Amino acid sequence: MIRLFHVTKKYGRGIIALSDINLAIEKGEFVFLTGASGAGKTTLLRLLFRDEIPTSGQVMVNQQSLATLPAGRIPYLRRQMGVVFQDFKLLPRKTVFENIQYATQVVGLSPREQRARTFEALEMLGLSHRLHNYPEQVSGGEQQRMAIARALVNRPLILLADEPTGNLDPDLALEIMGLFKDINAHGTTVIIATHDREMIRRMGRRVISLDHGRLVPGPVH
Amino acid sequence: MARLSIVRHCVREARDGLWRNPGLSLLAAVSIGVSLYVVGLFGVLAFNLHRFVEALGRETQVQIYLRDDAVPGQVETLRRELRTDPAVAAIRFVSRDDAAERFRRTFPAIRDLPGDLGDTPFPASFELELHESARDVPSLERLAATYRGAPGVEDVRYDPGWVQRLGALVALVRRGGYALGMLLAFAALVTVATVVRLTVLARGEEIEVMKLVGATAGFIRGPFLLAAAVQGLIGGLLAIGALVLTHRLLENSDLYRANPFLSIAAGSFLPPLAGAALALSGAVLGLVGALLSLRRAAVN
Repeated sequence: MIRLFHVTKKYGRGIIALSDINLAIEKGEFVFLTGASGAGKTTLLRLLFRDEIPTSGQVMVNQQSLATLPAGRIPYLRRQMGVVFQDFKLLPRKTVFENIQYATQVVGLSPREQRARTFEALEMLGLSHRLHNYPEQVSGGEQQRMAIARALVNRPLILLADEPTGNLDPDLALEIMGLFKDINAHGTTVIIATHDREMIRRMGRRVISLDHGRLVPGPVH
Repeated sequence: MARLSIVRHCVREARDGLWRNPGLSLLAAVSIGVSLYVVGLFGVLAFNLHRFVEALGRETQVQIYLRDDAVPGQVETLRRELRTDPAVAAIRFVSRDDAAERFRRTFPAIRDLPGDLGDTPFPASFELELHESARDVPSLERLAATYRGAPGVEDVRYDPGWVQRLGALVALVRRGGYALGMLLAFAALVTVATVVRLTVLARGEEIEVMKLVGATAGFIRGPFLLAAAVQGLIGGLLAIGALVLTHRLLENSDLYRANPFLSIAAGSFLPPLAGAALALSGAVLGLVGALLSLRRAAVN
């Protein structure tokens, strides 16, 4: 489903975020992407949803090369993915409900479907009692769950999550991971960037390790 | 269903966008309104002058002055000939008394002059209205040559030049109005583009989220375009309103009654279709300004 061939990403002043990355992630896999801060985890995720393009090499998603993807097709690529951002990227002027519904509106669902999917996602993430609150009125953990709900609401083929449990207490983090497992069990490919080694150990799934933009060799890749 | 949902989104977001920054929205609308108001003023002037010139052009193009000693038989023969002339659309006989009366009406300040001179100095004449096809100089020359030697005719006069010159003046007024209007429209365009740019910058975070969750460029741009078109339409309506008000005030002013030129230059308001086009051009200006701004802001 996802293939990276000799992918290198450089930024200005010679900063190398990723260097010669080769990897494959199959449909339905559950993968942890790990490494210290600055290892290149977020950059790799951003390459996958075409927020960045590699300086060299090829990124393929669903047999489609992202480098040659026309600008008009990028939204449709992103609609196949749900992304949980490290900084949540919630809209402060919209309520909890509206923040989630927004994602369904963008893909052109009917108002009835929008409401049904939004309620479903809020229920799943335990946010039903927060419908009319604004992001600033809910806790950090709840904001994180909002971000997850928004990523899931369109039932994506691929779920990308950047430190999705970073602001959650251990119990809630485990609960969220359980949720990701359920989603994965329904066929969604899940890729989670985290440096929470304890969580990775507990989950016992495939791990891709990065160190200073390079893949750390090992049998788990 | 998806399209309807997008339309609903555009309408709601455009409405929210307009209310969120009412000051900026009003600035954009007023700047468009001012430019269209100036275009409209020149439009009214050019429209009235054009109508005046056209009316003049339709009226007398040739005068055939009769000798004072022309006998009624000669006048009747001439009238018959003129009626059957294919170049002549209409004829009007102006007697010497009619001519004197017309003088008194046109120049009220010196209305007694003809009487002071004794016998009326104005000759009787036929005023000819010509068909459109016979208004060119060669046709006029032929007509003059034909009737100049006719019995009872003193002189034949025509001057197409002044009608053409007046027509050129109207064209100049119109072009001047357009040029100034375009200049102001450009300024309005820059204002609208800046307002849209500011709005885009203020909503940068939201736009980024929209892009990341898979919104198409149309979905993102739609509300901005709609809001700008509405601002432009409001500007256009403001311009029309201000023009109507200006015209009414002018019509009821002493200046207007005392100055016949004003009744020629601003006697009528723009036809409804032109007024609607002016208001709609505001919406187009708003749209173009927003499109320019969104291209630069790269919200695709």
